[in-house]
Amino acid sequence: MLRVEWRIFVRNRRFIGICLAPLCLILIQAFVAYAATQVGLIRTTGSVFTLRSLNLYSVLFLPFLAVATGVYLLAAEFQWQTIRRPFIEHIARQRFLLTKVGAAGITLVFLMLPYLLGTLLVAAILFGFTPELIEDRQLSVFAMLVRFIAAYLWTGFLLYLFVVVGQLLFLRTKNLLLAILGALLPFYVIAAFGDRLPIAPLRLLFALQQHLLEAAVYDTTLLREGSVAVGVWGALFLSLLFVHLRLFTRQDILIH
Amino acid sequence: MPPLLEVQHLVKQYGSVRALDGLDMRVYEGEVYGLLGPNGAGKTTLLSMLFGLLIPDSGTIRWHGHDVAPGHPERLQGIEGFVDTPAFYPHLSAIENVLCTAHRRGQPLTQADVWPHLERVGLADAAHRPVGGFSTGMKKRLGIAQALLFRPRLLILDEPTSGLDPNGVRDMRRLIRALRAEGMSILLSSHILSEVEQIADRIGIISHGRMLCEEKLSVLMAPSGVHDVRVDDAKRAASVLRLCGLRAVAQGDTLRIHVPTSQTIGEIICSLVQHGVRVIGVESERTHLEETFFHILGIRETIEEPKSNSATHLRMEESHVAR
Repeated sequence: MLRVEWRIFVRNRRFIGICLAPLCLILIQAFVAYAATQVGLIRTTGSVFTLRSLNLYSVLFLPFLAVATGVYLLAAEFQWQTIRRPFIEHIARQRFLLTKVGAAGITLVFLMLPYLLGTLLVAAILFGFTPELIEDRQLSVFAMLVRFIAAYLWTGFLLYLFVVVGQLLFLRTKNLLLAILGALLPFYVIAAFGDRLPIAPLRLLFALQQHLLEAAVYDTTLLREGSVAVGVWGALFLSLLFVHLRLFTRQDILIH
Repeated sequence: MPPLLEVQHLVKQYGSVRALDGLDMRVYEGEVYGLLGPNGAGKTTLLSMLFGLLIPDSGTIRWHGHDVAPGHPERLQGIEGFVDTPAFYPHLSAIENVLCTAHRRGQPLTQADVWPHLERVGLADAAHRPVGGFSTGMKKRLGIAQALLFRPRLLILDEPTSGLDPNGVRDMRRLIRALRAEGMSILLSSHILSEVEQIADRIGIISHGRMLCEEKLSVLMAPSGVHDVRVDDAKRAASVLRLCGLRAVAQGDTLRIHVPTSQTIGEIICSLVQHGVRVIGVESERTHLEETFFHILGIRETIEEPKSNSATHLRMEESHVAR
C-alpha cells in the first residue's frame, strides 16, 4: 500500500514541489548569512547557522508543511474523487487509514531529513564547524551536532501527533483549511505553554526538546526523561489512532 | 437456488431524507439484474452500500450466503465495478492506474496482464495517456477493464452507457452479453429503459428507497393480449369474431383483437380461416418495459403551461400509486 502511495504522489508535481520547497529556504538563509558575514555585520559559524536554520524551519515552516502535506494525502483523494476506489477494491478501511498515517510519517521524514542534511552541508561548506563555548561549556563539534539533531528530530516526532490530528479533522470536516488550522493552533499553543501543563509527563513531552538541546551531558537522567516522553507520546499516538480508526470505519464515504 | 447477493430491509437516513426505506433485493448467479428507478430513488445509495462505502442504519447485506458487517469492504471480495463515474488518478496513465489497483490488492500484475482487458473495452490506444484527459465514457470503459481484471462474480455497473457514443453503447451492450455468456452475474443500474430491456434477465424497480417490483423481464414484458391481425376482408372477419364473442376494432384491413386469457390467438385464427377469411399476418403486441416502469411507479405525464414562460414543458408527476 505504501509503495502505491509513493507511486501516486511522487508523480504529483504539487506534492513534490511542497516537499522540495524547504531546500530553497536553506539557500536563502545561506545567502543572507554569508553576505552578512562577508560585510562584517554578524559573525556566523557552522553551529550558529545550523541552530538558527533548524530553529527557524522547525518553528515556522515545518509544522505547516508537515500538517499540510499530511492532510493533502487525504484531501487529494477527495479532490480526485478516488477516495472510493480503495474500498471498491476491497481494501479494509483500517488498512487504508493506517497507510495514510504511515505515508504522512514518511512525508514528514522527507521534509525533515533533506533539510537537516542540506543545512549541515551548507554550514560545513560556507562557515565550517569549530568547537563552541556555550554557557561556559566547551562543546565539541560532535556533541553540538548531536544536540541539534536530537532536538530537531524530537520536534518532528512531536509534530507527527498533530499531523494525525489534521488528518482526523479533515476526514470529519472535509475542509482542508479547517483541518490544517485545527492541527496547527493546538501545536503552537502547546509548544508555547507546554512547560506549564499541570501533568508532569505531558509537561516533559513538550520540554524534552529544550532539555535535549541544553543538557550538559547526555546521561541516564536524560535517558529516563526521554523514555517517559516516548511512552507518553506512544500512548497519545495510539489513543489518537484508535479514535481515528473507530470513527473512520463508521463513516460514510461521500465525495459530494 | 440461494441468491448470490441478498439485501434485506436496508434503511439509510440522511437528516430528514430517507434514502433507503427497508429495501430488499436479490441477485442470482449468472443473471443480468437491471436496477431501475427515477432520480433520487436510492439506486446510488444502494450501490454504494454494496461496495461498503455507506454504512446502513439498519438491514443486512448477505454476500454469498454470509452477512457482511457494515464498513468492511474487504468482506465483499468478488464484487467489482463502479458507482457513478469511476475515478482514477488523473496524472497517471490508464495502465498505471490499473496496475496501482492490482498492487494495492497485493497482485503483482504486469502490463501484459492488463493489456487484453484494455483491448476488450477498446482502450488499448489510450493505455499510456493520462486519465485526466479521458471522457466520461472512456473512464467507464476503464472502470470495466479494471473490474474484469479481478474476475468478479458480480459486476456492478452504474449507468455504464451514459457518456458513450452510439458505437460505444453498442459495444457495451455486446460486452455485457458476452460477460453474461461467460457466467458472470451483472447488476446494472440505468435510466435507459430500452437498454436494460435488451440486456437484463430480471428487473428491480425502486422508488423512494423501496423495492416496488422485482420480477423477471419475461414476466414484465409478457404479451399484452392485444393482437393486430391483417385479413383480406375486415368486415367479414369482424362479424366472425362477434359470433365468437370477441371484440375487435377494424383499422383498414387490420383488426385489433383483445384476446381473453381463456383463448389463444391460434384458436381465433383457426376460426377465421374456417369461416373463409384469409389471414395475411399477425402481430402480437408486447408490453414495453417503459410502460411497465411508469405503471409501477404510478407516474403520469402531464403537459403544463408555465405562467412565466410560453414554452410547453413536459412534467413528470409521481402519484405514489404503487406505494
